[in-house]
Amino acid sequence: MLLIVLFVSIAFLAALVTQVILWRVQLPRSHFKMLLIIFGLFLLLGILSLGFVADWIYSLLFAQCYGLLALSYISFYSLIEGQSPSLTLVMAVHRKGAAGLSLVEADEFMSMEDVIGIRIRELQRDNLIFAKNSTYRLTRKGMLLAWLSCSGRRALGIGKGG
Amino acid sequence: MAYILIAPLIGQFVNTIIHISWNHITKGKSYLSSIVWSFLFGWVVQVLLTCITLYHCTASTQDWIGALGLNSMAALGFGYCYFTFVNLLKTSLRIRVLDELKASRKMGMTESELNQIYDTKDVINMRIFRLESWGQIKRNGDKLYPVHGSFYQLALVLRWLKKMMGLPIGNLN
Repeated sequence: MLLIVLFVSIAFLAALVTQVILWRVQLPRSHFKMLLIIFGLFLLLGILSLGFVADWIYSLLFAQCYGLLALSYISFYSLIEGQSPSLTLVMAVHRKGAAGLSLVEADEFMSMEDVIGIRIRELQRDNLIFAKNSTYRLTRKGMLLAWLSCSGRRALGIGKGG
Repeated sequence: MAYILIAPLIGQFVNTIIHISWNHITKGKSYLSSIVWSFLFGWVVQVLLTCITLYHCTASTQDWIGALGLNSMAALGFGYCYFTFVNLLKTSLRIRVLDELKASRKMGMTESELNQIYDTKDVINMRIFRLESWGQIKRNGDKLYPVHGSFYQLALVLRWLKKMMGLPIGNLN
């Protein structure tokens, strides 16, 4: 069992280091796809090498633990890559310190960003929406994601997000 | 041994059920504490299941340490993915745009229509309200003051990670 913990730790760290090196050399066009490729490669490597030294159940344990850690990191990466309005606001308030950030300043600061426009461009890039005669509509993929989010919110009993 | 594999799955199932029930009972008021407490419940269930399985297969001390460590890592992974999913539903602007487009059915919406529904002022007000209720900033009159909360620490870590990866720092500078 300790061998699998070691395998998971080494594979995860190796994938992280590989990602940082690649990112430092050149930022990829699709960050998400590249992350899936890097972490997927190390998953395969781990399963194959464990297959030589241990029982198949250990490979499954490795795949479950490593896979979940990799997915967690990939979802955390969107926080690193993106510009979260909440974190941006927290930083702006901290920069002002004891003097405080007035609501007018907060308005001006956040208005510098084209909040909705940026999101629309990202959704188009990810093929979730498309524009026809300057009207945006959902693609099939977008419809599925919107349906999932509506169902999730209904199950959790939370109102409109954003 | 196979039971060790499914222990984190069962733990996550318990986590989800408790979190959903908690949300419905409190009408989503204690967002962060509900996430933490339901995760802890799920984690305890997972640890108990792992211990019972190890006890029945008379495992060595190394196996106990390894299996508990491995399953706790898996539970953390499950818990974080679930937290991200809930957070996305609650705060993501992209998801909100998709929802608005879904509600408009086949008609679709222009960019200005989307901006009218959810303008910059709404984004700021909603964020300020949320950050205040989570104890990340405090409001006094028409001014916002810093509180050394977890979000500020997170913003600092993210800024460092962005620098390390060579990503644009943007407004976190």
